[in-house]
Amino acid sequence: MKHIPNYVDLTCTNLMIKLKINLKKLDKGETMEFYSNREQFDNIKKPFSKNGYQIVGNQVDDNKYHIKIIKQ
Amino acid sequence: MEHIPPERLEWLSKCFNTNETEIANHKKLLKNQKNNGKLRFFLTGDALFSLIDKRHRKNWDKLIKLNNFQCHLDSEEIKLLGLEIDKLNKLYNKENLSGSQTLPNRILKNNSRFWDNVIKSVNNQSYGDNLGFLEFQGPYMSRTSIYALQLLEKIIESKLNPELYTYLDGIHIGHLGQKPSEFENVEKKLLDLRKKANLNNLHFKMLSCSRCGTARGYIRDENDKEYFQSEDTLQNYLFCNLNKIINRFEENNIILTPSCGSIQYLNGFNENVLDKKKELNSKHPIIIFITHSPYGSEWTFGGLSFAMACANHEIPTKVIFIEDGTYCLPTIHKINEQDKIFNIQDIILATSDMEFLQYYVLDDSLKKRDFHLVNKLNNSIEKIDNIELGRIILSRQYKSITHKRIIFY
Repeated sequence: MKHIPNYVDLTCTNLMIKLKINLKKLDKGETMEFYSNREQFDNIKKPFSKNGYQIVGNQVDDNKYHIKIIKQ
Repeated sequence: MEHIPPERLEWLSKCFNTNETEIANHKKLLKNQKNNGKLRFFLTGDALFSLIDKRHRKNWDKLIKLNNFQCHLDSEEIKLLGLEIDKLNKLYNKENLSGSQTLPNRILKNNSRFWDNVIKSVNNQSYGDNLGFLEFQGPYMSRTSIYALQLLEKIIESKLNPELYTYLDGIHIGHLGQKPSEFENVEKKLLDLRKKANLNNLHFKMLSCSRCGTARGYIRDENDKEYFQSEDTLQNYLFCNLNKIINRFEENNIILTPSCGSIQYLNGFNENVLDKKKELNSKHPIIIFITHSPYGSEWTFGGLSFAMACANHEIPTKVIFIEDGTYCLPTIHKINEQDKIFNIQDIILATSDMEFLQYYVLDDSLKKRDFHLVNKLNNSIEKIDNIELGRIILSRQYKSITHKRIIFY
């Protein structure tokens, strides 16, 4: 079973840095998945809705979202 | 407030000195400065030592030669350090000074109303009802918290709402139960200031970075509140996401830090500008100088995180590696995931495509250390000379921009 990292404890800025670094390593069409909280999801929605990415978030718990970012 | 490295005064004097401006654009910028503005320094604390340290003299001399140069000195700190204003002025009162500047007291002003003048100077265009201070250092180890309190008190007396933001070790200044044996009790003084603000119908906002608070044990349980009151800090000293602090940087108000600058432009909005929408939406730019090595302290990571957060808020943000900040750049950093530290160079590479974030390095700082920018960063960081640095500091993209913030990390 695929391991999905849980980033809910990261601060918004640290999450953003981690995502920016990891997404650079992906090829076009590849997807990055992780769990975030609501505040993190709100914070990354806007920057990753543009600049060649597609972001999808599904709520899986009270304050937990399953996020997929696809590099386009 | 803090020690000024000789190198800083050197690049400042090169950026601003007319004798070395051979490039027409820079001259033009300085001409505008001459017509419209003043170059004012406000020195207190350890920054005052630069006036007696011979290593700084040549560069102070160059700066003093500039038209409209003024240097305000904190008289209380002058007294504390045993400096004498007459002797200081004699040091800089040589034949190389021209015209009206030859009168000693006009060069260096011993200022008993130092903080009043700081406020008057930085807030002369009435940038709003608030004036903020962003503190990075904890109390007692550093005296900057004492200066912050002095400034906050004057902000209240000026009938402006004081705002204190704390970041990195600065968050410690709100800790409960402080009991210094000799020094001014920072916690008690914050309480007094809050009372004074209330009596004057002013609101004293205190916001601290939650990442810094969590790292230092102030937030121990899972928290999903926007603003969090720690049981370890005084009441209404609230922790929040750094983004909430950056929200304040989207506003027009002035925010100072222990080592900072404020470039202020005269004249307001230009109605003839072509792209009015863009101009109206533009936010006050910020320049962040990275002056420390990459991993020995939290300064560099803190500065880059702050810059990135500003850029995410669409604040035009320029990060300049300078002085010892260039230690980040000449060798390839190798960090594993288990090292529990962000690779500073990876952060630069990953964020250099952000629309509102640009990276620069001062070539002089590299050359002094015999450093070369590591190849992998060549496309992410632009090398600049002192002329270009002067342009970055002084230039104004839109007429609606009334000021630009400069912070040293």
